[in-house]
Amino acid sequence: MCEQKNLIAWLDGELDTAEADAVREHVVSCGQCTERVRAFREVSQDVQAYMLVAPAAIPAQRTRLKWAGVAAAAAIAATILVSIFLRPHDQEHKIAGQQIVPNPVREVMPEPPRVAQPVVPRKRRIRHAVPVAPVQSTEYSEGPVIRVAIPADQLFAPGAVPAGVEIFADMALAPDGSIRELRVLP
Amino acid sequence: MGDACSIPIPAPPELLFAELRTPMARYLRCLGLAPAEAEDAVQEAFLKLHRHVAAGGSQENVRSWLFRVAHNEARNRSARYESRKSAPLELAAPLAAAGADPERQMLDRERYRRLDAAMKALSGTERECVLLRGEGLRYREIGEVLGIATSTVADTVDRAIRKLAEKCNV
Repeated sequence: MCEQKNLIAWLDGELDTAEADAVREHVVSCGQCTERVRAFREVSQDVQAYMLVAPAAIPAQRTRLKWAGVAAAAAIAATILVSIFLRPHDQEHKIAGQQIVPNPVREVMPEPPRVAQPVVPRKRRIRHAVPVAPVQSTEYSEGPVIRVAIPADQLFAPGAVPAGVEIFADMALAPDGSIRELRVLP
Repeated sequence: MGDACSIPIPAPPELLFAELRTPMARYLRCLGLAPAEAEDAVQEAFLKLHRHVAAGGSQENVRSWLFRVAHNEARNRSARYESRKSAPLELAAPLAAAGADPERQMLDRERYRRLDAAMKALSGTERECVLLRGEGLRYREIGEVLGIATSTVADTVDRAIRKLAEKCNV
């Protein structure tokens, strides 16, 4: 096998005149070196073509990674925010035919402490009692008595009685006008 | 691409930029820099040249000077540069001339895929020497860019081209 050196440097015009002449004379007379020079020239041309194509083919990975990283960070932040502010029962999804599966995020994130709210009884006031008619009755000892129609929802919890139902009652008034007695009629 | 330096000395900045911007960016992209990074490095190199000339610096060997600055900028981003060297080359477009038959196109794709693998198998210095040689820099200029002796460049280029020829079955 021929061991001629400096073939590539000769191809590149990097040898001085004397060296270049010597290599040229050898290449002309050596079949192996002629073939090697052909191969070196061909791969050099391929490298130049490669350099024209490779930059466009290499993806802008830093840009992609950058935005992928930003997108990932935004997704993580959004997940954390949703898990903090979303109420627990909103996160349970019932899948048909299966048990309710608790949201895994809720399992990780502790629920905010629930503060017991004091129960304040509502003061009920009888409103909208409509006088129906004066009552002529000897059942009441003295003073005027009037019959009134009281909307049932003024006496019972909302929804306990159908709407529009009225309770009739006799209202005996004291001399000073206050209610002395109230009799609900059956 | 591949000719000796044709830039007069001293050269007007706009001529330098027009002549060298694309080859410098291409070299940096082949090293693995993203397009924006490569452009930044090229801009930075010309900015430094402006400061160098304004400070009375020599404009001899301006081409190797610019490539060296850009090369060093790429080295500074070496962490990301190293991670991208292993990415396989996916050629987006056929390499054969328009009108080439599909079999020829497939052969070209395979040929360049082998070349891409062979390039990535080279050492860092071998690949840099081959790329700078591909941009038309002389061995002396390549030595100035990489900070190595001209004789070392000659040996490195010789070794690299032989490797490529062998692996590409040329």
